[in-house]
Amino acid sequence: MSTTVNIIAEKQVTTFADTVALAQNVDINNCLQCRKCAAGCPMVEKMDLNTVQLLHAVRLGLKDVVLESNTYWLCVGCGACVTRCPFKIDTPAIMDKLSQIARAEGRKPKEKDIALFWDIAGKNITSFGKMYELGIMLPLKLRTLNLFTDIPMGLKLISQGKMEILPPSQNKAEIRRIAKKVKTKEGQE
Amino acid sequence: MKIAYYESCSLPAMGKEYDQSIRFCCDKLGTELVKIEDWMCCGSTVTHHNSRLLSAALPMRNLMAVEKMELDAVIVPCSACYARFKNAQHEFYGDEKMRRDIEEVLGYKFNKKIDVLHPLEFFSTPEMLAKIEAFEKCKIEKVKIASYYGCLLVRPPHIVGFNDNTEYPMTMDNILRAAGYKTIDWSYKTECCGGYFTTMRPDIVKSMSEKIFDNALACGAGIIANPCIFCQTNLDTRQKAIEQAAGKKYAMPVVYFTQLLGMALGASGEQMHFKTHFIGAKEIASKVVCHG
Repeated sequence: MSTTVNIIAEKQVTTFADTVALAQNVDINNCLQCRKCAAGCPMVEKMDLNTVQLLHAVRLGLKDVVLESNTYWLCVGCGACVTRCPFKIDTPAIMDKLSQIARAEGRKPKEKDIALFWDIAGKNITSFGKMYELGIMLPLKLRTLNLFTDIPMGLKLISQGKMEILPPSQNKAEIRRIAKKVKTKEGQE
Repeated sequence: MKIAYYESCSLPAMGKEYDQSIRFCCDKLGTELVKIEDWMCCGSTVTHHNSRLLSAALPMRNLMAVEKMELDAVIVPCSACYARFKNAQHEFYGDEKMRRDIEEVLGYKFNKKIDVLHPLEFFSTPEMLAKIEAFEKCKIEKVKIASYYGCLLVRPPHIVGFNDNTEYPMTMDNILRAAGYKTIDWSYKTECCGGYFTTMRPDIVKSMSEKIFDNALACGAGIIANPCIFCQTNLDTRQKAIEQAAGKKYAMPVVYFTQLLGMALGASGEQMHFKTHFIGAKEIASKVVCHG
């Protein structure tokens, strides 16, 4: 794997491309633009840039074009692209990094509910030690002012014992310790 | 035989039918499941959007617990968890820096690689299939099953390493057929259902799940069996909404494959919790006929 990093570093296409690819240890310069990734992507119709256009824009260093698109917010991570890529370029990992850069720069997300979900759910997991679904749904519904959809479904799930009402606690001191250490470590790099 | 069991976030609640039926099947097939007492969330489909290191550290923390229990393997029933565990191992064993960082964050040196198994892999070994065949043979009167695998379990193969064909898996078909059931050939076995987008963009989930139902129906299925809590939630609890959005009628029961396997291993419909599904599962369970 360390050889992959060296190859990317030597090619030095653009700083933006390096930042994105190095962080995830993915060699995007292998892209042949064969478009198998885009052909298999179930989200392609809804994306501003399809996967192959996105990779190309990243390589060209077109940072604003990339980060102003909805593409990386809409990636559901099904893995069709990386599976069919002849070079196994991990496009979903690239998408992850792009959303991290966008959020760190305070850019307005094109899919604000999805961005909000990642924030709320991420904090939820590291607070309770396990996913507390109701604790995600309620703030999400309040923040998106989408209050009434899903209420019948939610009530049915609760009545059947399929959704927890009270906040859980699962090894939460340990998960908080790990999350804090990761944050410190990432802050140093 | 003892094996660790990752009782993940949604198993006791949203996926309780899956949990109960896996426990029943393992018990009947002579496997003792050992709960990981100090488990924690693996980061799910969320954490990798926020931090690469954290999303690899959390599954490894659970594998550390398995190592401390002196067990060699863990069953991870939820496809999303399974994918995160396999991703974490891919990072840990494939990238020196990640390995050092994970060990530093956890304050632990790993000694061995734990086998991460999905129930589909666990129940489809030749030995297990032979054991299943020795039990009763079941069928559902006039109904064929579409085995739906979803995306997280099978992709990408060089990372998850799921022990089956990536584009056209057969393990679930083999398990259900060993139990006597009839499964169909169809094209949407590994198509994504829309997963966790269900809360934020239900419109996307509806259009993706619609295609799965259309193909299952066109190929003659009367029920969908699956191995994933996300897929189950989208296809079952959201089915009415999918029907409304599409202007179609499916009325297609969706169940976990282990519930059908459990029936062949001697469980009653009651024990397999068919009644807590939203769409017609209880009715179809009453049509399951098993004989020795």
